[in-house]
Amino acid sequence: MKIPVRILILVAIAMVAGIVANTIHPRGIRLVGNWSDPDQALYKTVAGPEDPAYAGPERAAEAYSSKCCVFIDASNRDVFEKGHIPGAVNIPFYEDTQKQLDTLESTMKDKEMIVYCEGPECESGLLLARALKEIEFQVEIFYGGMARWRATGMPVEKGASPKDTPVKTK
Amino acid sequence: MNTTDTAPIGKVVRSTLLARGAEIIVGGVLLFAAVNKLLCPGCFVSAILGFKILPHVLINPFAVVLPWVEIVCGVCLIVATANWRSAARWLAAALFAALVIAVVQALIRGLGITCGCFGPYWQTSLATTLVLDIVLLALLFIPIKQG
Repeated sequence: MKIPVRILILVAIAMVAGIVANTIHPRGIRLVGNWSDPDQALYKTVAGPEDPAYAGPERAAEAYSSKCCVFIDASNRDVFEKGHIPGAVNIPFYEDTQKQLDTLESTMKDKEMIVYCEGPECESGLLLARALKEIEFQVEIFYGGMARWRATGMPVEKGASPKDTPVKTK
Repeated sequence: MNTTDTAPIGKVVRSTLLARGAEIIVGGVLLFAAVNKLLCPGCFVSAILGFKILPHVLINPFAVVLPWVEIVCGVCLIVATANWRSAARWLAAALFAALVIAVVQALIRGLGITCGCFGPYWQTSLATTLVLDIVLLALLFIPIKQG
């Protein structure tokens, strides 16, 4: 049997095994996602029942105007500095997260938080929201992130995150 | 038997052992990557989306099948006969080559993502992924001397 035929057989075995395993996997995903609303589609594909609740663009806008919540941006510093939700605190998920979570824990434990990252495709927002939920913060995840925030015409602030300055909330 | 007769056999044995060792290492890495992806299939969807190269309609099927391609390749590289190992080697090489392209385009476009290659709990930067990927690709092509 020639190598290309063997490769095709290996791929066919993988396809069958993948579909069967996904069917019985407790966190299996839909084979064909409904991507008409990519933000929600991805959130529903990615998040489990124990994950932080979904906040859509309307909820994010309402939270911004009512100042009820602290926005936490999980993007890298350079991405954050190029534009973020006004007043958001930057906790780059891949940079010394634990130290920053400790600071947050001592300064903002009683605040409600909405976590986001660059857009619906980034995973740092979800990973950070999970970490925050684990240490018992009240947290939601704005899955559309900055991409959706910009698309809805909401204000954007540029520059670094104010260090050790908790965001004022009502 | 003199030393001139035994030297080539020794080289062949060493070369075979080296190539088998490389196959086992690559197979192990593939299995480790697959198992970690399968812990959270949805997280892998998110990681694929981050690369911004696949159309949405292909993302879920890709996320379902790819870890199993890695498992099949990994198992073959470790325990299969030479013919099947050879097929698995080419398939694994295709996977690594595709990943090199995905990572390079992500670096060029400045996408602020991690690889997602080892699931949500083992984050690797794009640069680390690129180096690891090239090393694994090279390991796959350590030639076996036929004597």
